[in-house]
Amino acid sequence: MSNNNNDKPITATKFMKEFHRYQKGSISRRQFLGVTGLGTAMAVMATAMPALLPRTAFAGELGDRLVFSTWPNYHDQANVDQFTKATGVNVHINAFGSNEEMLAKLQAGGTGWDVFVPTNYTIEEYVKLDLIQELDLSKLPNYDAGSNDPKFAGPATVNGKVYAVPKNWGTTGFIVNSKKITSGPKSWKDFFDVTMNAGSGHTILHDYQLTTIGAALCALGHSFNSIDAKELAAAEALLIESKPHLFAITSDYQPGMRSGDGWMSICWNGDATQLKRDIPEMEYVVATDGGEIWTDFYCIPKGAPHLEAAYAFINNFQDPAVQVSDAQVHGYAPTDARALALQPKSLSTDPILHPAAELMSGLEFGAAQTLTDPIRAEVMASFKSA
Amino acid sequence: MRIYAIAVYLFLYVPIGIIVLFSFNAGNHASELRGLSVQWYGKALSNPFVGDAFITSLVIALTVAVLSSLMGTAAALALQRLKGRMRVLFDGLIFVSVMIPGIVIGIATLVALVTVFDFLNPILASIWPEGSQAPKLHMGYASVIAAHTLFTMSLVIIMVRARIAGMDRALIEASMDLYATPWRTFYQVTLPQIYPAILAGFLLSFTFSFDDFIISFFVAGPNTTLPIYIFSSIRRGITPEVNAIGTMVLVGSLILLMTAQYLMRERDKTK
Amino acid sequence: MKEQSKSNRWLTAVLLTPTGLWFAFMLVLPLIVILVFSFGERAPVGGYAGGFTLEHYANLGARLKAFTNTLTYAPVGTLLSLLVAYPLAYYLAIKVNRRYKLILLVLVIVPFWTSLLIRTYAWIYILGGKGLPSILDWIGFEGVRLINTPGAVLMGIVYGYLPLMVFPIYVSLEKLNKSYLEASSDLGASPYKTFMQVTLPLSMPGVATGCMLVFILLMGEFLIPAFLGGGKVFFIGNALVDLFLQSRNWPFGSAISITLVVIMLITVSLYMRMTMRNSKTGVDESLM
Repeated sequence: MSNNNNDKPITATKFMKEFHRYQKGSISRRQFLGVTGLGTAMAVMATAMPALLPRTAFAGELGDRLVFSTWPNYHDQANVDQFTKATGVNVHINAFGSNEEMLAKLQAGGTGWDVFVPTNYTIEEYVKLDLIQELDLSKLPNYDAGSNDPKFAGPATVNGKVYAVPKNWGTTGFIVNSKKITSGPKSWKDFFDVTMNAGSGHTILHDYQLTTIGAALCALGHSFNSIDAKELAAAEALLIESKPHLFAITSDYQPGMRSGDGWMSICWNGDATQLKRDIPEMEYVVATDGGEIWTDFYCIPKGAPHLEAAYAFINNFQDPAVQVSDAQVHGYAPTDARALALQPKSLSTDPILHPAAELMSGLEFGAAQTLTDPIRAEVMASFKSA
Repeated sequence: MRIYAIAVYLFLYVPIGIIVLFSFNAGNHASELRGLSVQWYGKALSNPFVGDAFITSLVIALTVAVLSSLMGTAAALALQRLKGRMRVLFDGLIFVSVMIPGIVIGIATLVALVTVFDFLNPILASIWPEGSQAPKLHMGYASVIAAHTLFTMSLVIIMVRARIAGMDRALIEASMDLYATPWRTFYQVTLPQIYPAILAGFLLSFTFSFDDFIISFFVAGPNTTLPIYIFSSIRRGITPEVNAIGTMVLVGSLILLMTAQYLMRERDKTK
Repeated sequence: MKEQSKSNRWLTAVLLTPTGLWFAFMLVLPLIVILVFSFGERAPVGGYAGGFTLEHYANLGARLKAFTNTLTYAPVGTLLSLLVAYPLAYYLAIKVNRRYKLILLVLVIVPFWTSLLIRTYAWIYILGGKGLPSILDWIGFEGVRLINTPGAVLMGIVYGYLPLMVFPIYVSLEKLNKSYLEASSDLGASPYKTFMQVTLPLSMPGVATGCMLVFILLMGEFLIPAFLGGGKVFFIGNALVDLFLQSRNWPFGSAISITLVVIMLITVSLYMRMTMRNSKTGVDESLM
């Protein structure tokens, strides 16, 4: 800075004098900034807040930002950080508790999302509503269509066009803290029985119509995907009856289960792995009377502001090695045969990731009509407000 | 009485103490303290989304504060001369805009704007010259600013009007009698008297807008304000980064307050 | 003379135009749109489709619990905040040494500057299983559950809105001339009598303002029940967020919004009329 800057804060009158000189043009901008100390202040700000400055290092074609909307506890932060390091693209993660919430945001328009993670049954509807883009597979060299089991990857293709690539597959069952609940519930019927008796006040249901209504339907002996008005009315009655016995209605149930307030919760299998890792008495149950099997996908919404970064991000997470290292943290199995071949024994033999075939036979993929069915939407909403 | 006051202050500050304490957490979870470190401050400061959200919030709150104090003051001055039906109409609108819950403002604005945009966008696209991309209207800065300003402008009107009611009329009349122009009367007599109310209104508008979550949640579109960022961090599974952000905002406002206090004292001294 | 009043009218019009336009486009238009929507149909995929039906108003009963919850928690929460805030405001305005007054007052407002979201979140931890209950457990009260209960929501309300209540009461007590109090006790009135007959009536404008502010905000509250009620304590605000951001039933949500606005108009006007009759001064606008 300039010589006459004696490190003391400038007085108001002196500042104004200098400002007039600057306005009249008798000193340069650099001198003005130096004398008034504004330059120092800005320099301090700049070093303290690199975030506020445009990035030049990586400001290549990818840009430096990516907005990613996904589910809670579904990623290894280390892999996301690794992506940022390699490409200069910073990733902002939003978490959502249901597909319906994602759909509502997209329908209202202007989300600013670049990549999001919908579930199998929603993709066709997103295409119909013109909310997602057809993917340019040439920008996803790490994706190998042939190595994905069509049972899981099928919904990605609508009318012969590919709109999505698979992320992981999994099951929806429930988790039990076996120290608190010793009766060993095996079915959704048991689940609601325990909720309303021994475990009263400690059960968590999802804030998500598909799984919460689905669980109640299975407990009553109906299909997980039913849109039959009578069956749904019975499910609503069961849910409302159980409501006073619940601890919470939330899709982010890990904090509640970890704090010890929650003893039982509807649960996705990866969350079960994460919980069991820290709390051995947590047991994951694939219910004997039904439940959900699902695949999640990476999609790009129409109008994504950082399109190139979105492709780079998806491509990065299609790399089999990255898929495996992600799975080791979040506990969901990949659908990609290349990744399955790479996975260590600890994953391939884990019954939470790969349940026995006879348990799987009763599981259903979510059905498209549940997403937009008005009765299911209203059953969920009125259960929550009951 | 004193013990009671201490208890209330404890009630107010224990959660804040916990926020600050956990901002120095060395661990990754906001709920378990594992040693002390300042790493989360570094992470928050180098996270461009935090910077973006902060600047978005700042720009919105400043614009809201400026717009509401200008328009609110102008309206308050005009309203005191207005009589009859128009006066009743405006009083009613001010009352409704203050009393309507923020969530209804957010929803109604969202629904109205989505409808208007759905109507206008195809028209824009059809009248736009061939070959170039027509602009597409969507939610953003403008919608948040407009929705916030509705409420804060009414606040300013109420505050300034109360000040005008308590103002010394004789001074204004004297000034008019001395053939001062209306502008001069305003600038030299009225303004100095209502100035504190305008300033208070400005600060209140800024604070409201900066901390508002619910209206912005509905109408911000792709823009992320600081409260929206914090909300999404909490939903994602909170890390101490959020605590660090909260602590920095708190310290920042304390410093601003103390500087203002100091400057005011200095000014009083020179007087 | 005529010339001047004409220019005056022009000036008034110019000064009012921006505000008038703002009200027209940001208040009247959106309210009309949701009024129209509230008579429409839910589109098959969610959202709004044109039509005319009264079914959404007929169906309001499906959210009866949300309405009754809000209409109980809002007044109870307001009253609790008042009970906690009044002694503090009294202490600050009358008892405290002038030297500490400003700093103590600022300390009431400071919590307002950390995001309400973060402050409420801190309570999830304090009331959750590893916070207070584990301490209670240790002293011998086992299995106490605090989080996701009506009590937790009420506590969050008092915590969140306390400064808003303390401030107006403080201002009106501060205005109260201390010589009144001295006169009253010189005349042999007991402290209780002085409080009931002098202090309390004179502080009513502040009480009325604080209560109205808190009540209005509580009627639209969404965050506190969502965070501290675990989705089990449901306000109208939560029902609205649900209808717009989850089940995508815009017409029903619009009908609920309109109903909420009507309820607000009625309760707040009644309230203002009541306080005006009781304390002559009514809600002190200068404090808002």
